[in-house]
Amino acid sequence: MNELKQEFEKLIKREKSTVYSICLMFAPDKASANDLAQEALINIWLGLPKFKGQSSMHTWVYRITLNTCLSFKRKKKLPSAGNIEIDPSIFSTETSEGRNTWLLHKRIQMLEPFDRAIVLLWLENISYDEIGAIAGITAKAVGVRLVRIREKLKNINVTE
Amino acid sequence: MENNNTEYRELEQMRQDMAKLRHSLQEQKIFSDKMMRHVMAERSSWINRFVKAEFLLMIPILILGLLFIMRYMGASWTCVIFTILFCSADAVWDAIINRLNTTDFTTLSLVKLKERLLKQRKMRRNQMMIEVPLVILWAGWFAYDLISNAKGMYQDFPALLLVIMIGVLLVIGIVIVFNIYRKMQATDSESLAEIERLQREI
Repeated sequence: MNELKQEFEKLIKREKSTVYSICLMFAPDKASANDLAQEALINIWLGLPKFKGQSSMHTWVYRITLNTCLSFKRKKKLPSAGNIEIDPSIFSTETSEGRNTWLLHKRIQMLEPFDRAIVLLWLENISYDEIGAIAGITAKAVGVRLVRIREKLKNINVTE
Repeated sequence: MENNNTEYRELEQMRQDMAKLRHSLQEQKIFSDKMMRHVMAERSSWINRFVKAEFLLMIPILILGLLFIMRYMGASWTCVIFTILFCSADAVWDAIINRLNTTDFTTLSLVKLKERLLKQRKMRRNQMMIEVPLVILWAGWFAYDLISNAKGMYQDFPALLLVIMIGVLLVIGIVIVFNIYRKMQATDSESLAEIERLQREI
């Protein structure tokens, strides 16, 4: 059990930015992103003993986090399990970094949840085959979907 | 061509912004030690917990209760052994039906998950349709067995009152089981509705 805990802690240290950035792109606000991240962490912990290495650990974390975001019930209020510790400047539109995060969040938020999942996987340079396997659609459908997403993004006008 | 370049630039810009965000987040602590401990203390969903409780709590309590009834009230060995086997079979059946756990829920593809949820709901409905009539028949046999083998002070206990008591307990039991069944089916229905909504968007 201790070995598993150590493995989990190492994994989260390595993948924390993956988990949190996906949650941030799915959630309407920071508080919801924190709830999602907590739920994703629980699911990763529960799934870790059954991980058999069919895909890379990174893809596996991606899949669990995305599925958590897609299936998370917003009405469910999670008990507080400690704070998420992030420098608030990342979200501040006063800094260029914060403004970029805000714009990225806005663009992705304007897509439908399933499109958000596809585009996040694409942003991560994951192959069409792997995106298809994670989403449960064919690689060809992923390509078609991405063309439509590009079309939507072209028409999205983000204003501060 | 110009249009394609614009579309590509849009996504490429997002890719760069995402990489920057990931880099900034990687330098942060994000998940506190308290949160990590809380996460590792988490086990599984309420349905899986219920199935485990059936094996670890309800079956042992049932066995003790039946042995008590046999010793002081006078049920037959046949009836007691049949009841234990029947309840154990029900617990095993529950475990088979509800084997879809939190991990499956987050790792299966949406299509596969929908298939599994639909199958789970159907199996649960079949289980209810088979078990409710069997439980009613069992209750009748149990009442008859208790009346025929009554011993000690229970020999003078009015048979009609005993039948009424078993009938009331049976109704309470069926109401509780039916509520749990409805809650489980509703949990799966919520998940199915969410998956169907996502599939419509594909």
